[in-house]
Amino acid sequence: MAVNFKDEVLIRIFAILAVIIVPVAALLVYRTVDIAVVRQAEFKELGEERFRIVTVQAERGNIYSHNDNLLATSVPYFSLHFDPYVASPRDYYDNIDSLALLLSRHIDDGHTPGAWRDSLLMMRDSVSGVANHYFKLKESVSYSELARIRKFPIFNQGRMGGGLIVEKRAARKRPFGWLARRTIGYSKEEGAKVGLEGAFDEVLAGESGKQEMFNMGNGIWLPTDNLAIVEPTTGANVYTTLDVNIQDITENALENGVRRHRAEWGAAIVMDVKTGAIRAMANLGAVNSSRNRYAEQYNYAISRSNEPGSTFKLATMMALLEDGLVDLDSEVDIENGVKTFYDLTMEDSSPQSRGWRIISVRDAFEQSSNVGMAKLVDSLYSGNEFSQRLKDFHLDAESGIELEGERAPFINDTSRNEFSGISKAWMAIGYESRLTPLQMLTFYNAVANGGQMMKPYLVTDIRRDGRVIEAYKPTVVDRRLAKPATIEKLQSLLEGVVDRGTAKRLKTDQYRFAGKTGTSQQNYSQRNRKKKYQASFAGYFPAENPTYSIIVVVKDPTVGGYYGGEVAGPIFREIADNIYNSMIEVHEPLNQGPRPVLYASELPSRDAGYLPELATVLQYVNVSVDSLPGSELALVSAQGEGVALSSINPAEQKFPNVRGMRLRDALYVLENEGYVVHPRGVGRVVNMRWQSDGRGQRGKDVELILR
Amino acid sequence: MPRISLKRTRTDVATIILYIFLVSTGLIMINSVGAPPEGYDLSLAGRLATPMGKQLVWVVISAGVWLFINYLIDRNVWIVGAYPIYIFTVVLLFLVLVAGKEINGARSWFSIAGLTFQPSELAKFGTCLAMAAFLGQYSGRLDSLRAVAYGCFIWLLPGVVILGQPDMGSTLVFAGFLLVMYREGLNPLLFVLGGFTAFMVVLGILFPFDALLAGLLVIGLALYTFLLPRRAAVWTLGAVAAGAVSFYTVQAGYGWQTNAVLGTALIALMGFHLMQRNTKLVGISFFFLLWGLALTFTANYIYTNQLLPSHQHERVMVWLHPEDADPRGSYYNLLQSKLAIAAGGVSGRGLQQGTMTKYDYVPEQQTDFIFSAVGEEQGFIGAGTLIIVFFLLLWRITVIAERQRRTFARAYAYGVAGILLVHFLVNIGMTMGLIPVIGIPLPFISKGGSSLLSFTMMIAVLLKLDKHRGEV
Repeated sequence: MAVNFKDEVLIRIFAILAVIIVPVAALLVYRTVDIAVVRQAEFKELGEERFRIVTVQAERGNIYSHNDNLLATSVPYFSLHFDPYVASPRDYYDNIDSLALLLSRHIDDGHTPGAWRDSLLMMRDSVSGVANHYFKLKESVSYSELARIRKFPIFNQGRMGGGLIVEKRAARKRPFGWLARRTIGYSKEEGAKVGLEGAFDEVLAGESGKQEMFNMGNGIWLPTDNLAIVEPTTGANVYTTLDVNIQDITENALENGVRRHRAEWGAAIVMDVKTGAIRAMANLGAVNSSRNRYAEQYNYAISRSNEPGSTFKLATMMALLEDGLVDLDSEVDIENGVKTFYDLTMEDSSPQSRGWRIISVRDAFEQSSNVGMAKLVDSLYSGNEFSQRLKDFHLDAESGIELEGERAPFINDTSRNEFSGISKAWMAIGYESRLTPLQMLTFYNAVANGGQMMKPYLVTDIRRDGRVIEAYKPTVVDRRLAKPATIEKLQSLLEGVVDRGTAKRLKTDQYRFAGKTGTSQQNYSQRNRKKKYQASFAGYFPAENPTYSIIVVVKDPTVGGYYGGEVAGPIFREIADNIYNSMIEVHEPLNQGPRPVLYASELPSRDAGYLPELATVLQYVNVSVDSLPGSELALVSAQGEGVALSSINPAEQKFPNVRGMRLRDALYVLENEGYVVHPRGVGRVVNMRWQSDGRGQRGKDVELILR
Repeated sequence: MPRISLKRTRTDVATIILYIFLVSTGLIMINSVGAPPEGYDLSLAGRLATPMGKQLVWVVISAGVWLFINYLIDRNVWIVGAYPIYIFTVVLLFLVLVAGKEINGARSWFSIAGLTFQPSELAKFGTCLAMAAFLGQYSGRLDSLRAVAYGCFIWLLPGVVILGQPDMGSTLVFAGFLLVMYREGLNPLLFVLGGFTAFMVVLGILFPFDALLAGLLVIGLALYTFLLPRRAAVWTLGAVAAGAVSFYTVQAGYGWQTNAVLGTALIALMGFHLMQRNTKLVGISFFFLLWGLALTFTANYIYTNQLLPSHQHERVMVWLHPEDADPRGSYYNLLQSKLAIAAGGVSGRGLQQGTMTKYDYVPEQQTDFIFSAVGEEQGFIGAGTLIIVFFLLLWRITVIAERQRRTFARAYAYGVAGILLVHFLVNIGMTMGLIPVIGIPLPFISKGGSSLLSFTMMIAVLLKLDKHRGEV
């Protein structure tokens, strides 16, 4: 290779450029392309997803009952994953046996320690060198379990050293289980929002925070601390009007009722008369075709709008009385309970109507005569007047309950195609109009409340950190639904229903209640089908001081009758009975009324003690005392219907007699006189044993026998 | 002899433009990466307190030094003062070991009045001058062993002293002077041998033992068949053996490696076949084969048995077997850097938008790893442009070098080129895993006053020499 010097220099320059500089540049550029463009997707899993802003769920607020019982709350739980490749090989294999043993004991999936050991070994092998891998250990673990699991070998080195990945979740718990389930409801992220959870979702949910997370690889995300994060705001607590006891009573009574009658569903609402606060709202629907299992799965009370039937006659009467068209003793010819309006025949359901012609309006209502009511409305109102009257009573207005899904009521009127010549007659008895149980109850409650219509409501206030941020006061819909005289008459009608009318079999001696039965045929348009009824009872109690109004609606009872008085009435009674028994404020105190006659055997006798105390006690238990002696101590003795107090004056006695006294008084008396007391037993002094002083006299020591 | 001329040429504008481009890019990137999340404090003092503000001060100082060199210092000062300056910088290197300030475990800095200064940066400049002065005596005929030994001593001395700080990266930079030595006549065989050695070591670590064994068998068989007279029979034997080996290794899970080795072997075989019993070639082939085998198997043995100190083993593993490395441990830095570059994609996320680099997930993102910030925020387009600009600068320096009449100036230019080349290759290579992670700055871009000042002086002196290249 004969290369001259000049050529060799040239070769060297070319070599520098061609062999070193250009290839190095090309290599670097190639590598950049490789990473940034060609294999970008490969790095994308790690790279593009390196950072993400995650939403930090705020802790959801609680729902409380009227008496501050927790109805719904969020409980944290943890899901555990494990990255077996995080721990160093030595740590992993050294501790695998003890970890397997502990896992088999604490994660109850039936694996033996050996099986756990094998799967731990297999996990590690199957993931070595693979990115993004972790295994689920357990889905939901409580905090105390977590604290224990965190102490396991390997796991105790934390997320970065041991590979235990803990994810906090929150589960919604209802401490009272199924109680008022549909009313409390739920809120799912996918959008289903039901009940109070749904209606107050925004306040309960709080404000979720934002947190930038950084991916450490292997699917582990750590929060960064470089950005100002948005702290989540805990949701507010919702305080409801629901009363856990009343709700429990209502649900039990309703369940007994719908089971007894194998009904399709039943709904019952208890409302506070003065405020419109809902104390209980129970909805039970049959979950199987044999109708022996029921569950709260639909809020019939606000979402099912049916023709109410005879309970609606209260509105009819209100209209007739308010307009002065009839009075309670006006007469109406019920034509033996059968009358044909145009082409449709209306019959009274009660067979006793067959024997009646002219009866009073009061009787027509109390015996629930369809013909009577229908005839009055049909003859006394023309055109749209009756419908308009009903609308004046807000019967066409939604109740405005906070929950989602309330069905609007329907009151037929002349503007509608359905309105016909017989509409007035049928509307008078609760057909051609549709109301939800809650809307019907709102109307009854207004009557119970002396004509003041209250808006039903479920939530009293919303509190955050104990501070009330929003309070809901009872809302008056109509201060005066009708003249006080009308309301008074309606109340007496409702009481009459129970006293003499269709609900007389429900009458009780314990308290007085008022209400109206209702039975409506639901599928009259389907002539050939088996008839389906809706039985209802709406009313309030106690009649003289209405406290709660209640409506019970039972759809399609199949066993044991179908009349409102047979089906819904007993449920009403069961609810009212139980509520009444738990109502302290309505029970008369035992010490009022005539004083019980006490006999000498029952009166205290032979009791002695400090006079002012004795006098106070006797006065408290209402035992008459003839006169008080002037001494400090006294002895009680029964005399006839009273007691007499005789004075005891220890200073005048040679040896003080403390029989009948309590130890405290006895000690006071004896030790003041310089005696040494040796008590035996507890209670009252029944005997005194004086010790001898050695000279045949009573000494200074005295033994007291107490019993 | 060249014609004597007193004509003064102009300063090389292209180099200045490239220089300004790089320094501005550096300022922009430092500003972007160092931007606090809440934004910059807009007062003058506040601005100067930012990383960008501090770097700007150094840029102004560098500009002053440039002007000073360009207008006030005679070029002969550098020629005459080459050795004294070199000795001065080496003395500083010794001094820093005694009186230096320790930062991050390395005693590499002097701290004077709040400003820190790295003498190893200045040593690069000094060594450049000394090498140029030394090679000036030989004028492209660096062929005596003695001369090579002296030449190597000049750059090895500061390199070894710096190793005492310790600063592995800066030491490595001095190997850049091999470039200028090659240009001035160093035997290329040394480079071939060196390159082969490095290649074989890498090969040994890169491939598993089985694959290496398969390769050895194939190459051995090929040589054997080549040397035997009855070729046809042995060819068949060889093919069968190769097939068996291939089958075995594929079964063992090293399919593609085996195929690569077999392919290489076949090509080698054809080459041998063409050259037909050239005994000298066979001898050379055997030398390389045996040397290569020794290297690969030694490297393989050392690596697989983890005989290196653990931090060095980790470093090699991160470089050649990142799939085995702990992504949260030793592989973390490099992985973050790669991810940042990948996140940038083609066009990048835009200035101050690079979350990977901005939020410290890429370490040393304003200094050693600033290239990944460019990759993330400017994408492949920006990073590629930067690489091209760097190599345009290198090419420009080579052009300047080759138009010098004085060996001093030419050698000096190649010295600068060599240092820059090592910096570029090592720094950019390490951010992308081409090269083990060795901490050296990216010239003109990385934050750091000493580095910028030193490189500015190198370029300024180069252009000053170039401006006067017409004068003898």
